[in-house]
Amino acid sequence: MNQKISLIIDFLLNYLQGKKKAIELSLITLLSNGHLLIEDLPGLGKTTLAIGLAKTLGLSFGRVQATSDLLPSDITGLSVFNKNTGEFEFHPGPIFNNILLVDEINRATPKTQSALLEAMAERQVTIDGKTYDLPKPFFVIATQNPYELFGTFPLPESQLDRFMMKISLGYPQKEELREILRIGSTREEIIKINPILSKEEILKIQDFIKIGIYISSKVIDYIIDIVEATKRSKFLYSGISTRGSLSLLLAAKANAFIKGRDYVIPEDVKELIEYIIPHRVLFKEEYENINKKEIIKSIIEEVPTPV
Amino acid sequence: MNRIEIKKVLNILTYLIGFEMFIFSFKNISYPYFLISSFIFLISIYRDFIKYFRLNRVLLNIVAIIFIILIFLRVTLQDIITPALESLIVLLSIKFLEDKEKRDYLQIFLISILIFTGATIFSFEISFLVFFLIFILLINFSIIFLTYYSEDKNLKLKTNEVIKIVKKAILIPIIALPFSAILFFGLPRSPNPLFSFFGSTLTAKTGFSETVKLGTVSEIQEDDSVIFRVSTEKLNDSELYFRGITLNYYENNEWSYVRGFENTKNIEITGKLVEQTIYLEPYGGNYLFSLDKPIAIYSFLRYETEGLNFKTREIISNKVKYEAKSIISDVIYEKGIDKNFYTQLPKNLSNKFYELAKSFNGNEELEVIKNVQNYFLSGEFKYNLKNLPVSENPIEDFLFKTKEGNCEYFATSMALILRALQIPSRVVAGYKGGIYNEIGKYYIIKQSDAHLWVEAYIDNIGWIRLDPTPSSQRDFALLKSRKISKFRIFLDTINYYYNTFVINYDLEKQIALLNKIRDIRFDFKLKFNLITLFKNLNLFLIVASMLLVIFLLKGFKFERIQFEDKIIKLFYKKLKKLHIKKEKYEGLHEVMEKIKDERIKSKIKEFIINFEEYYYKDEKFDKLIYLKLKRLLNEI
Repeated sequence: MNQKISLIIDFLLNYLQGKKKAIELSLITLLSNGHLLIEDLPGLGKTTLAIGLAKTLGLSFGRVQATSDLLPSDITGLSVFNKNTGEFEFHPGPIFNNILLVDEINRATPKTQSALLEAMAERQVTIDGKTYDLPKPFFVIATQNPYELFGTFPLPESQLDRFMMKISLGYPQKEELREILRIGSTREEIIKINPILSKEEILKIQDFIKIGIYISSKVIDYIIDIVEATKRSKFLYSGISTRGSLSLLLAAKANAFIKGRDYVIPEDVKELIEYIIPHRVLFKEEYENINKKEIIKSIIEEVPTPV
Repeated sequence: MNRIEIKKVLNILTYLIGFEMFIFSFKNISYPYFLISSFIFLISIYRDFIKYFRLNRVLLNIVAIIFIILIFLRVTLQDIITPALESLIVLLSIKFLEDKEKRDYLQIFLISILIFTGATIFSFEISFLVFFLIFILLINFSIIFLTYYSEDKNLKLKTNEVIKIVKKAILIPIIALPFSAILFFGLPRSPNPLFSFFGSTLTAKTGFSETVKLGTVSEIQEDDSVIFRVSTEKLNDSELYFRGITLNYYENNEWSYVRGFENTKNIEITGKLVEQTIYLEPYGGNYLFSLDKPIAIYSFLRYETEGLNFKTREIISNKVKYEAKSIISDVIYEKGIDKNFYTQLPKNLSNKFYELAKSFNGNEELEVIKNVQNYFLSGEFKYNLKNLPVSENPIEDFLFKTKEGNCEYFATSMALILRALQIPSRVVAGYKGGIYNEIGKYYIIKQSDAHLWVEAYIDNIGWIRLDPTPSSQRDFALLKSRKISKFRIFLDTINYYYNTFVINYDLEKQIALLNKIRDIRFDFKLKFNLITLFKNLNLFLIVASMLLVIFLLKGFKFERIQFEDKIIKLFYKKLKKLHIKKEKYEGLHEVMEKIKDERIKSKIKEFIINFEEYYYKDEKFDKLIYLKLKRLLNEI
């Protein structure tokens, strides 16, 4: 199974030069049943990543561009009265795709944001008193623009907790940019590629990660130590929530799986910390402007690994 | 704060265990082996604590093997245990002489456990309990310190740390105590030392015998050992006659018992009824004692009775317990005795003797009897255990020459004089006196309390008890030799409770009863021994296997953790050699990434992946995994 995963990573690298880490992290998030938040400037390959994932994994793909006039029903869909049949017909929205890309989520109104986030957590939507299950797997990639703050509705910290990871793609390196410019846009090519894994296989992998990857109490204790360290830290107002701890554990398992192991080692946890923790914790004002990843790193350095 | 090397603590503890083993087996092994092994033991003390010198291990092992062969050449079917114990003691002492590593300490503990188990076969005394407790504590301490030692050989402990560890170690046996108590009372126990089934019999103690022979010894050694304990109410001193056997025939200066003259049915005794529980020590005879006059004995023992004699079929070689009912009385009413038999006299009595007998006059028989008794009590005769007449005719020597003797002389002389006067008489052998233990409410009767007294028969009255031995003189003599202190009585109380509560008398009796039911005429002894053997072997096996299991479990768990820690330690050592520092927050892979040399890196990677496979999957580290990982490390 995990050979196919590395195949996917290699394959996607053709279209996303130098974005190996981002590809891995989004796969980890997807496989451990989480959602991904990408904080980046537009035009760095977010859509390519989302479509690439959907295509290689044989999943359906939907996209929503968030604006301030985006309504919840624009995402979830709505019931429309059919004059011919005399009944209400449900018109599903883009949320009924396996992979949903929500561009610039912080431009949507809080009402729309919370409708989306609720759907992400519940994995179902209720429209006109009727509940509809979302497809499986269900994976949301939301993006936000870090610099354009005017006229946006920043996600509150409690909502951010619903994203398993927050990553950024970053600018491509000089060489990578040269390659991109030489080849040109690859969007059309991606749409044509054949899937490497099937939907069923993805679900199987998700189950296996949950059950089949062994996590020793030594590593669990390590995670607990990390959580405790964030609670004690002088830089933070609040530590990692239980949901956050659980995300850390699940993601670590998926990480182990991707690395080809059926057991978790401390590095599996450690590697993901900078993507899982910073957006979940409240930093004290005086540290707001310091690199948050560095702060988290310093906190982790207080925690000994179990060897 | 003073720091003690862990090795030193361990050595001291181990030597204490060794020392206890020596004390414990001292009585049971032959002197040459004891001397040799204790000499080796002393040398090893010198070597370990005073001045170190090196010894060749191979050579030591060869010596040990030679010793074992030598000892085992002496093994007979009758005695397997003694040679086994001897070889173990020699082995132990040789083991002490070696350089001691973890394995050697464990071997010493194991040998000690074997010796201890072996030695318990010989001993069933209260002292065993003390030895046992000390042993358990020492072994516990040693094993705990050994774990520390195997972790870090150069560990130095502060005094208060040592005390802390010792305190915690004490907890283990304390926690185990209720559990072992259940086992202790639940498992079958035997009142006899397990040794007896290996064919050796206990040596008989002097004091009481079925026959009384005079004129052969000039001096009697006082035997201070306890013969039996009687749990009963407190009685008057004058009532403390414990009857053993009635001796009715005197010939060749010897009293003996002739069957057929005791009447069991036509006797009548009136007086105060006293119930007793008697704990009899093995004494090599087969008579059961109880207060004079015994009327019934209740016991699982197989005994037969004639008149007032209660006699077991086999020699009493175990501690036994029985209940007895006695009527305190000076008189036994009996109709129609054989007067000819009871006035029988030996032929070699001189005229002088008959003249003396005739000099006792009185209006009636009772008066004559009292006169005879008074003759001995008047002060002319002295009670003495020394200078006893040794001759052809000791009684006449006693009467006319020395006038000194013990109860045997007094009673015999009186009985013979009465017989010469045609008054039927006999002597009774038993015990007189005893110390009452107020705490335990029982009498302690010692071998030195052995006594002989006279019973004379008068028509219409019956047998009257008469004691011609000057009791004040006897008691004084006893007091002089006894010097029983309050402390000894206290100790005896503990012993008594140990006997009554700990030793399971009834089981033995039940088995005896079982045998009685299945009584097969031929070779009863073999059968009985088989049952005891089976029972004792069972007990032995249970105890031994329990110890073994505990030992293995302890060792196993401790090995497992130990291998894991050991390999981690080796790995760190390797890293240090490569000048790589692992920060505490770093994972193994992160450390690996620090390595520049690709060859070393790939080797380290191989080790790490193999190690993690077990470590993070919580697999048990056994020796094989340890060796495999160690090999990988060595390749680096």
